[in-house]
Amino acid sequence: MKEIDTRATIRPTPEAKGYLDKLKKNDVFDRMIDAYLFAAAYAIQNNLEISKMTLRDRQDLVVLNRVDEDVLLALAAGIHAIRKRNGQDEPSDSKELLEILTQYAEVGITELKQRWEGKVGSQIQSDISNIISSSVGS
Amino acid sequence: MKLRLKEIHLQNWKCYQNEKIKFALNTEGNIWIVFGKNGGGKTSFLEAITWCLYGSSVISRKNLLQYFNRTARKQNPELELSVFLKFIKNNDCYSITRTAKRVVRGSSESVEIQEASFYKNGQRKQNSREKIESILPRFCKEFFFFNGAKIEHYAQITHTEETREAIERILGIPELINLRDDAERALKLIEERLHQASLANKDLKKITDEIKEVQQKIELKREQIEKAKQELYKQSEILSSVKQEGNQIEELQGKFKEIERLKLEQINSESALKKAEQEVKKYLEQAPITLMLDYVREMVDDLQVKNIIATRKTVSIKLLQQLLENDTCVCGRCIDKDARQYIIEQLEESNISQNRTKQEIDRDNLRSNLTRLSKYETPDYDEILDEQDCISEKLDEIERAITRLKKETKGISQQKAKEIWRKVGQEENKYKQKQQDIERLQNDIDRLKHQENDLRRNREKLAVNDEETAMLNKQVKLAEGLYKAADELIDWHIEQCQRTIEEHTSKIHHQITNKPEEYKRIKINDNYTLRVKNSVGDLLIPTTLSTGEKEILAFAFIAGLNLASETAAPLVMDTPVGNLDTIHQKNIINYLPEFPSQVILLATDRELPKDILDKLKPDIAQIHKIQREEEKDRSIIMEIEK
Repeated sequence: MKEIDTRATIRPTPEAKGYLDKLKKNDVFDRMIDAYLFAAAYAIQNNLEISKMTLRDRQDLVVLNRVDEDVLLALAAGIHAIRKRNGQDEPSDSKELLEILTQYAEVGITELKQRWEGKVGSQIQSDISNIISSSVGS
Repeated sequence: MKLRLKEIHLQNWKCYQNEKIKFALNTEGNIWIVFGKNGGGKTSFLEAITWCLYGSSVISRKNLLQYFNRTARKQNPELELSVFLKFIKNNDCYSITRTAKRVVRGSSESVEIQEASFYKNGQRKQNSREKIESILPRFCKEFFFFNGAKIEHYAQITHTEETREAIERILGIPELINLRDDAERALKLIEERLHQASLANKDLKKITDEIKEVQQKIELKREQIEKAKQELYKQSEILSSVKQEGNQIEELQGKFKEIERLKLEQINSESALKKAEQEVKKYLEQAPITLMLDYVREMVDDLQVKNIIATRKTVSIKLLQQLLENDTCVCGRCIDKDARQYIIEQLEESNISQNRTKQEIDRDNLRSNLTRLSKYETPDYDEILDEQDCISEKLDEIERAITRLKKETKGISQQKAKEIWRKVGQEENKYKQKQQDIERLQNDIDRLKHQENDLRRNREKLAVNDEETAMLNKQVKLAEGLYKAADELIDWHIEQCQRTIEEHTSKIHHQITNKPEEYKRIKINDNYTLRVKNSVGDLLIPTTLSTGEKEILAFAFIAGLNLASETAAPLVMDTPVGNLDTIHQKNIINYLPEFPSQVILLATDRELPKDILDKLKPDIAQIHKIQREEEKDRSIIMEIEK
């Protein structure tokens, strides 16, 4: 199993970055990267389709050494496991792994944006609680 | 002896074009409800009643122009509006009608108002104003026609001389005053005759003149004492207000301490909130771990399988090395050349595998990290958020309390406290001075009366010498006795009435206030101003009470007055409980069935929701509803089922 290179920089699309900024401003997440990685986890958990995802005009967000190592490890495990479940090739190096992670995060952000449309910060936090509770319960 | 409203007829009055409501008085209930939406015409209904009774003193001539129905005015610019009221008391029927006409001259418009007509049992009575005053005195109108939206006003309504007179009229005191005045007039008349009759007798004339002089002095002193009493009352108001200010400042010392304590609590709560926020932050940062836990466990299992395979490989190498060293096969035979070559090739290959050891170490580390991660315990997010909310709410409360206390203590210093208490001392001295003035004047009156009595006795002795003066003197004595008796009766009756109102008002107030432990009773002053006596014995001025408390106090007084008077007047309440808190609302609603007279409530559905209506049902006589017909720009009133 490949691990995510913590020296790498995560690079979302401008659309995703815009929404991440909104979530930060609404005090839902303290950092944009936390929201981005949560979206990736959400997408993996729901096995969202990433093959049609095209990533354009990507911008630097943050170097991954600012992120909890356990979170990165869990996400790496998640990507390997879901690829395996889906009968797809597992990533062969950390660069590919990071690319897949970004795709999941992007598709997750699109999905969550729809899900949280019209909701205020506290409602979104409450929904996150629901997402997590249902994950623990499942 | 209840006075009850039986009928009301509104023509071209504001939103009403031609509406007649009949209140069925033959029912058990004492409550009539008229429901209406905001802007539907409830207040117009109340205004119609007061205008019919009191005319321009409640709605000015200029403002009345706005009261002509808009739609009817378009069809007929010189429109006439009218309000008709019918009251029943015992078996007597009182009808009052007032009309006004809109007059248009060129571009200017004005209004002509006719004097109200007053009928008793179908017979028109002259001087309608006086007649209306006799059944519903104008200065007491706020007691009968109660506008919940203007409750601020109620703390002041008993502060005029006219109101005092009006209250006494309700209590039947003017009849007694008339008796006293008649006796006084008779006394003066007889004394004047005695004076005329005694002109021939020099000594008698001298004494009569002296009596007259003393009487004039007594009259003067009485006027002075009356004035001094009024000043004493005003002084008591000032003193009470300054004392209250002083007490409030003393209370402020405690508030300063409270601010300090709250500030400490604020610091602790802020730090707790910061900690809780950090926890939320950390939780959201680690949220992906929880979502990935199943996958992590899957990978742990996967790596475990790979590990078992690698271990097996290591054991095989060791075995091959032992075979080469011993040169013997596991079956006991010697190893031949081909077999040896094969084992060497296998071991060489395994050397390449040994290069993988670092990778295996990494994999072991990975497996151990994933194993640790797979045991990750997800914190209870709801609990963390709840805790954060709790602390945040507590902090808000503390901040609000500090702001409130700071506002209450704004501009207050020890210096100011001292100044106020010095002022209290000064005002107390002024009050005592006024009391002494009254005492002195009373002593003067007593002395003069004593002197008058001596003179009267002397006159009596002299008067017996002449038949006419003897007879007139006897009459003077009788008239004097009657005057004194009437005077005493008035004092006694007023005192009795005031005590009765005080008892009733205190009892009702205790029943409906939301602070029955704090507000012990209601004190009614000689001029019918109110004071609330609290648990520590202070007499609070109504202006210092909250808006809702003022309404409650006014309501208790109105009910008390109704109970004490023999002519209980109807109570029409607009927005009856709209400005009250839920406890006051509940208490007033619960009390309404006990109200001693007819109650007409002009309310919105929200003010009297179904549960309250159900509770009131046994005491409801009728329910009417004001229906707004927007397309016709008018309101109609219809009876609906209870």
